[in-house]
Amino acid sequence: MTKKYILYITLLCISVVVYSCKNNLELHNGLTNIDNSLDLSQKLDAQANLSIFNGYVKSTGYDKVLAGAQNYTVWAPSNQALANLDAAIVSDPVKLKDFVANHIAISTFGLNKEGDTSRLKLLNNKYGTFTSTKFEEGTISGGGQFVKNGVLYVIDQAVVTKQNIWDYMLANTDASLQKNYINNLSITVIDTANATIIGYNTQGNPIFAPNPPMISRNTYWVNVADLRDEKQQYTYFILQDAAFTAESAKLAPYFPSLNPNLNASYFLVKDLTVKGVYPIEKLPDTLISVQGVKVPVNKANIIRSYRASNGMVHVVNALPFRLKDKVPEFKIEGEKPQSVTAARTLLYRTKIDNLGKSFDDLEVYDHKYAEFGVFYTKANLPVVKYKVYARAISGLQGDPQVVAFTQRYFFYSPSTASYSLFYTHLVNPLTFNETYLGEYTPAEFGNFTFRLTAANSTSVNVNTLILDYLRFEPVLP
Amino acid sequence: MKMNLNKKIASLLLLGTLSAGSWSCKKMLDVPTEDKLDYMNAYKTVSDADAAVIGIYGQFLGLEKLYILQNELRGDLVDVTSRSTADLQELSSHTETRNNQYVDPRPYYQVIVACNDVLKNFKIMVDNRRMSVDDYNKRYSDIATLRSWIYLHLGIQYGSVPYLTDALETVDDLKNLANYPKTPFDQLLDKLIAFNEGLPYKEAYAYPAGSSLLVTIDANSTQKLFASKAFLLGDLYLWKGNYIKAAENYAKLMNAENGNANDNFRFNFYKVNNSADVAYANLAVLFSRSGQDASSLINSLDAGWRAIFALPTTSNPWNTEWLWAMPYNTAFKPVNPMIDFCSPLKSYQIKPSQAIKDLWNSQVTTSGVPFDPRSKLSFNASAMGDEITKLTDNGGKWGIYRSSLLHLRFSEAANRDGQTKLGWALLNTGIRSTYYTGTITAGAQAPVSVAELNTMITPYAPSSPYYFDARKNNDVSGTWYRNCGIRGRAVVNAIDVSYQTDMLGLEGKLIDEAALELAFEGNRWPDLVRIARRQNNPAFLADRIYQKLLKAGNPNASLTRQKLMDPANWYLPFDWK
Repeated sequence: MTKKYILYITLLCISVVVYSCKNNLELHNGLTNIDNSLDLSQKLDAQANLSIFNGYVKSTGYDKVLAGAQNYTVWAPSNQALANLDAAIVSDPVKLKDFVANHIAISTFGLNKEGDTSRLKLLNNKYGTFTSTKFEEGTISGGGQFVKNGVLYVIDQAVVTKQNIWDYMLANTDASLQKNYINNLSITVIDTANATIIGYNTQGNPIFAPNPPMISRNTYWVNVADLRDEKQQYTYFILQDAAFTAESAKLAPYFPSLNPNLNASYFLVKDLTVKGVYPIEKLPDTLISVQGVKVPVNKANIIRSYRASNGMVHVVNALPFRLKDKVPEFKIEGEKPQSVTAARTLLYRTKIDNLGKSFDDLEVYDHKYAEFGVFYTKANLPVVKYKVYARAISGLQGDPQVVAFTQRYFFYSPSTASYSLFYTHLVNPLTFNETYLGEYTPAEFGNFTFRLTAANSTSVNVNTLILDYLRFEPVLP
Repeated sequence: MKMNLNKKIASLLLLGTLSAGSWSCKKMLDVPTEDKLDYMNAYKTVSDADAAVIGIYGQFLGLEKLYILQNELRGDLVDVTSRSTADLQELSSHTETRNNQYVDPRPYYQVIVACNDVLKNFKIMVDNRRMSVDDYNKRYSDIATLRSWIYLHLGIQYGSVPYLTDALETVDDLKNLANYPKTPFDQLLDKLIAFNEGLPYKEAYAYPAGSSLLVTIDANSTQKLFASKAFLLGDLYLWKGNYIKAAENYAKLMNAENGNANDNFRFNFYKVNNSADVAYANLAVLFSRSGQDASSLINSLDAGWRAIFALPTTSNPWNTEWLWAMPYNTAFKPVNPMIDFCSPLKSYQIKPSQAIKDLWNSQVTTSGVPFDPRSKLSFNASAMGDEITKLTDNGGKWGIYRSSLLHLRFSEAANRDGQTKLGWALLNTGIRSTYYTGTITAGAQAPVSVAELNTMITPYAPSSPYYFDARKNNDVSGTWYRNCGIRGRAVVNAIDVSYQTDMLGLEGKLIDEAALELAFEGNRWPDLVRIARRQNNPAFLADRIYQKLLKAGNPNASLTRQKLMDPANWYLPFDWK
């Protein structure tokens, strides 16, 4: 009898030890409808209404990819959706592979319940837009079917690979002038990826073997926007030839440069790219270009639109930029000097004006240097008559300069390679208004330089320099 | 039968093995340790007493996190980040519940209980002639002051708390604290004042020169490690509303080095000045090129205003400012918890509020720069987020009392005692330029007579706490001549002179200045409660919290304001679990 009790107790003890751990093992969290017995390849095999897509997957070899250990998201068009697929895609193995890859992304993405839009990189390096209901233009039917290496969605349309803006522009036949102009904006640089490096100079930069391989770079990609970049999203305007010619001609007097990278056509096309995607129904009447200029949009002028893989293209027959946006008023800020004539202490000040508004300026005080000069430049000054104003405020709290002084502005002339006096400015304390300096018309297109010059004296309070800004107001027709 | 016996033995063995697993741990605890000191062997000599004092402060240092969070996050100068825990977000928006870890008062009582135990043992030591009465008086008064300081803070945060001064016999006694009667805040102040006034040693410094507790360890001096008795007494009187007594205690510290034969100590220690002497001062806001050029602001750990928080405790300039601060050392534990809390590269739980940033940006310097330079010296703005640097510079310290705080508290007391102009002077441009009425030559004070010179002394009897001698000419240098005011040291414009006769107005300005000068250091919530309580004006507190929440986009800002209009809601629930 005792023996039996002992055995029971023993068994009880053991079972307590064994079972007490169990609860923890059972704890797990995850998706409840996941089918861990199948991979994506097998899941496709099992669905009759995806048999055509599955056939393409197999013929392009992606079935092996989808059977692998990496996780994928597949948006498979149904058989009905593929019924009308362009035969040119089906018959060309390269195009077909790209087509299939355009429906697959690495990693598992669930449907976004909040309705946010995500852009996902696809296997062909394009990006697809995925919302709570759609993948690109295809509508998702049903939910995601989760399997052990990813998720499968069924969509009701084939998502044909889109061209990016750059490729579309090159292939487009609506406007040849703009296309040719931009396509020829190139410089030739060393192909550093393929050049042979034979050493490094003292700065640590590579030295290449003689006659290195050269490669052509389009300056539009660098100076405005890289329209090939699949990661970005732009809206790009293509002007038909007549409009391109008219707009270029409008700008020609102000940008008389022989350099194709800086001529009137360049100043036209630099503002044809806008950040973001604006399909025709979402176009406002004015956009701001990547270079910060207003782009006037009239939907009636759009003759064709294309949804590119990295944005939107609108072909227009007119895009009448306002001259005052293209040849804008500008300021040269005192606190942004280019250089000085001698090493002296420059004070980069932040002050408050009479209206309580804070502003930044430059002061050079008690520098003991007669005719001390501070240089300023502005690149690519359009050729037009300007009215020039200056703002210089002395005598504010903390400023030791409380008496009037004079400073001079010397403008540089490239033709004579010399500076000539433009204005002698008597700066009275606490003058908050701008001072009108006079009219100025650059002799030629190019960079503009001026020198802010102190009085010819070494005395404190006499040779002071103070400049908030010079403002150039173009006189336009 | 033989078989059965074997089975029986086997079963018993199995049972024994299994049961051993569950009982074997128990005896481990009964083994006497060899690397820990048993309480029976402690408290034999003065060295043991010293070790107990240092040990208490080591334990006390662990309260910094709780103290800073309760006092700053509940106030309007510190805000939560997007990464803050739910507990901190509750604390910041005044929606804390009883389960919030930052509401739990137990960490404070653990130190209090330790203090009580040490005090009891000190008494046994002196009774048994193991420690001289003189040694006992100093050590006892020190630890007792520390305990009172914790109680003051508990009263501010929890309102009514159990005032426990006797050592506990068993751990269970602490568990029963929930049943212990609670002392309301006002009565607690009375008890603390009576207790601290009765302490046997009340000098300006906890231990005089030569004491075995004043040493330099690991490049840190212990001089300012200990609680400041006069400062605490001043605070207690200030909370109580006994302003002359508060001023007396604060003035005791302001003048603590007046008798020093070394002028560098006399003129600089606790005087808040803009002296450029790098060996003994140099803690003003400085510019390398010009005060007009904000980009030349000296933002350095070694010089200028930011150095107040970064210099080592052994440096003289640091000691001119601080009265009580405990340094962290990156090489030892405990690690400064604020590094993790403040750095956007770490867990990043707190940041400066928009309210304090706006307040800083509404100031103008004497050179016309439209922001308070102390903002850039208190936190570091970056794309990662705003990082409070005050608490972590050079490893950081827990700084509790410093001269700016002393001057502001003194000014608050003096102002309430009718000496509004004196409060204005210490806040703005200093004693000398506020009181001088004599000849000015070429913009400089140039007294032509003794009478004119004497206007640089505040018009009180030398025995008054309001007496400050700031005389300065070629012959005389009064002890206070370098004092330049808190705003003067920060080179921001003085507030309007009309506040020299506007008591309530100046009181508000003093609290605003405390925000600008002492932001994040753990004084904000007590400041707001003290003034709102004194003026019987809950809006003083509620409006400020409202502004913080509003500027942070908290949709419950006005609800919180409503809640805080009832003083009962200022206090955390005292929940003993």
